[in-house]
Amino acid sequence: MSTTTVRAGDVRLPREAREALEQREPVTVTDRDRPAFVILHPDDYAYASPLLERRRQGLPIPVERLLTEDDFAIIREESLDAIDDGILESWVS
Amino acid sequence: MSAPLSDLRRGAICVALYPFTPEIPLEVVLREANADSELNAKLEAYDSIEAIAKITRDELVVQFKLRPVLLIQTGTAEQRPDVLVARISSITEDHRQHRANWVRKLEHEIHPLMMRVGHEQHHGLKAESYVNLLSVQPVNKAAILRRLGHLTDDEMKGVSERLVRALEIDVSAYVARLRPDASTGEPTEPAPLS
Repeated sequence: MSTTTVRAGDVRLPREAREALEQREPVTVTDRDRPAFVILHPDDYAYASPLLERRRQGLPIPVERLLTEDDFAIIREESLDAIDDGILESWVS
Repeated sequence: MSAPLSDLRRGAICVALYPFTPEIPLEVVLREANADSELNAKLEAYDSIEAIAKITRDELVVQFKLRPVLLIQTGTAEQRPDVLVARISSITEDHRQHRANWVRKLEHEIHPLMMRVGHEQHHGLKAESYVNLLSVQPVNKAAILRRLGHLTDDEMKGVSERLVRALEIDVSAYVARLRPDASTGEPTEPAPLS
């Protein structure tokens, strides 16, 4: 996938953003409170770039590769929610 | 009692009796099949299995909950009984305490499959919530009680992107058609998504 490269001297990043990247944390840049860019550490980009390449081509990505452990936990909680609060209706009385 | 059909437009947020996937115990079906050679033959042949619907056993239970849903297609035509919806759930205090990263992704609108709603007045929800585009299913229109609010066309673009991911839809042919034509430099005519 083609990328555009710029020199570090041409980019002004706040100190907290540089520190976050050193800790391998993505940095989200917002514009009017909405995310405009996400800056990644190069090692993280190596993981993400195959997915980005597929996305650019419009190819499907196995959905489970897009889910984190948090997501799986949320999905489990959603099904438990049904048992806790749902209205149970048997097909016969 | 049910919401008027004119309210059932794509992007509407409605309160509906949302069915959960019933836990149908396969062993009941197989037990009935063993006692019914005709049904067994149908199962073997992967033929019509309408006879299974006649099984009247307490083991078959359907669960419902009255909850907000997002209409992801238009359901204004009388001729169609069902409409496809995605479930909406609350973002709870427990989520904020124990799933902070997940909440942050929703707030930053970078979750690939779920989307925050309820933070704008036009959504019509009382609490901050999220739409889960992995949890999509048809509901009977008679089970839709009323319209609460709606998502804007711009917000629905975010829903569409997440649906493409959640349903693993291959849009490569569509994307290829959007690329500039080498001879003219103009994008070629996009084909409608099927």
